[in-house]
Amino acid sequence: MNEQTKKVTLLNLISTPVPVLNSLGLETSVGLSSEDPVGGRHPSETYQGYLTIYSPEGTFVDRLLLGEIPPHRRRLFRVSRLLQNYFPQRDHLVVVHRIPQRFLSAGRLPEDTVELSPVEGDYGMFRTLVQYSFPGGANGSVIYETPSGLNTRRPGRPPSNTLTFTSKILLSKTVNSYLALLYYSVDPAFDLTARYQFHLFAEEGQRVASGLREFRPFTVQLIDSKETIPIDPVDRLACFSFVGYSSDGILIPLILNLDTDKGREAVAVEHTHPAQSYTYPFRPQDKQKLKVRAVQQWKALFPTEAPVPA
Amino acid sequence: MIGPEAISVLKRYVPQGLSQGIQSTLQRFGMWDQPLLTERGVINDLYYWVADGHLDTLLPLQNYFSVFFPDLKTETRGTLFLYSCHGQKIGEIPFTLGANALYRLRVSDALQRLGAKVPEGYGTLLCDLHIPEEVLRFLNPKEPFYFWDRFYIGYLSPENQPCFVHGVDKTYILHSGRRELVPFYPTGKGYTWLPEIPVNIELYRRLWVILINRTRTSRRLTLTVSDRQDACRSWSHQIPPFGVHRFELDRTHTRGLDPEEMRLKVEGIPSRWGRPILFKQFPSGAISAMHC
Repeated sequence: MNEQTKKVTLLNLISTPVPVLNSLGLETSVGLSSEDPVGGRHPSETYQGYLTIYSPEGTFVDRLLLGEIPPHRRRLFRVSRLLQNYFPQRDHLVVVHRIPQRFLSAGRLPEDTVELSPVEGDYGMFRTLVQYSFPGGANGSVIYETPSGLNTRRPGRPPSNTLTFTSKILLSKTVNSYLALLYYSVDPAFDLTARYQFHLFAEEGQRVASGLREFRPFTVQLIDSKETIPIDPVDRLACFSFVGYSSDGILIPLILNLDTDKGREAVAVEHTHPAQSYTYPFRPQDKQKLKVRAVQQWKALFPTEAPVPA
Repeated sequence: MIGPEAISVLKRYVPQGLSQGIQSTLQRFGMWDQPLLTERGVINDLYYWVADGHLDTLLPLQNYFSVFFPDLKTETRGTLFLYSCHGQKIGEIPFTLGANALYRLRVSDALQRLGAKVPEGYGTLLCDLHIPEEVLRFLNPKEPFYFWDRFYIGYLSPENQPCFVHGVDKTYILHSGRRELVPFYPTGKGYTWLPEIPVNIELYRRLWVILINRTRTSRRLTLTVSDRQDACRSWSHQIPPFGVHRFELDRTHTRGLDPEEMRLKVEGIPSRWGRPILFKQFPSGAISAMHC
């Protein structure tokens, strides 16, 4: 292999893990583009979209062709319609992949690898629009992609870690906030279970709830704020902050704010920044050190031995 | 243009006072396009707010220092700066924030406290959380260190249905111990963004494409909406320094275009990551927002 090039599985070139949240009654759609959002790196070309389906337990189930995205176009794919016969009542993970048609025209399969230079393989910021709605209701959407090299084993080095924080937890009689935590890897053989500990804090800073979850790879779990926080919701919105962490792997959080008021069923969804993006140290490697230190300090403050059942 | 390696050498080896002098000289001649981060402080972004008697803006500001330093004393102070859509300062509100706490404020309440009337009903805001003393003592005083506050801002429908977006770019640097707002981008450029979202305009009562100018240079931005047959419509607007503009779209604006799977293109964005916010309003009154 040329020193400058890197082998990449076509499925991992551009991908996004997406939680299918059947337990919340939400429909899922994904939007795909055939253009570089930043412009200039790759001329627009035809892409093929694929969907990998995992079971609620994290087992590979199927891979479907979503369809073609012609040059200079946007396509919306109604994933829920394609998944009608897969786990209709349960939450599970799917992964959306985009592959330039020219790679597949050479007789390759989506599972094949290609050798690309850093410039050829630069598909950073090629993200998927993930959209949720109650049937017939207003939609909420968010855009993100699989972080490079997500949850791969690194011989001789500790696993990746997570530090999550957000202030988007709101409760009222009709509003509830859910954290959807995705545990995905770009390595199909990845098998490390991750323990994820979390705390919720009221406005004044007092801790109001804590929990611990275990995640098998290629799964998704929801944290239901209304079930977790011991308060009686009132008309006024109550605000809470969230801190979560794991030393075992990277979990991608999506935060959903649902309003279930009759006639106004609404969904808003956002992701969170990884903690390291909040720091600008003199030495870039100190970003990771600071995050690891923070996780260690949280674990020292709240030691736990046994997992709490999910 | 000065490259990143030269900047790194300058930061590392040239004394602070001298390096700042070099920086300002290079900036004057257009040879420096980023600030010199030689101290300690916080990089803040400019956010869109709306408080028009119908929609409101909710700030639940989290003490993120408590997240990074749960073992240190992280009580702190902060200041909220409010600006009009033209980039003019409306006022500022100081506040305190305990460890692991949230500072919660509606922008409609903030405007009332300031006695401000803003006819446009929207503008920009900036929030500065000071680095707590114990955190400052923890950081190596010989090395520069900055936090990049990328907090979440909420928007509320009249029925208190919420949605959120996060910070995406950088606007000002606030060095620790000083109150001067130092612009992160000395001059505005003209970047293009091609949002991935397929727009079906029939779903919305109104769709706002919101753009903020995070630089000191007034910039003309152009929004183009194209359909699947490549028919298109374009609108342009001059956005003043640190101002914001909302391109409003509904069925009347896009009449004649195929309404499904339309695509957006924004040209002239002054800062690299200053991509648009899409703010959706539905016939039911529901709202949602996202960053592109």
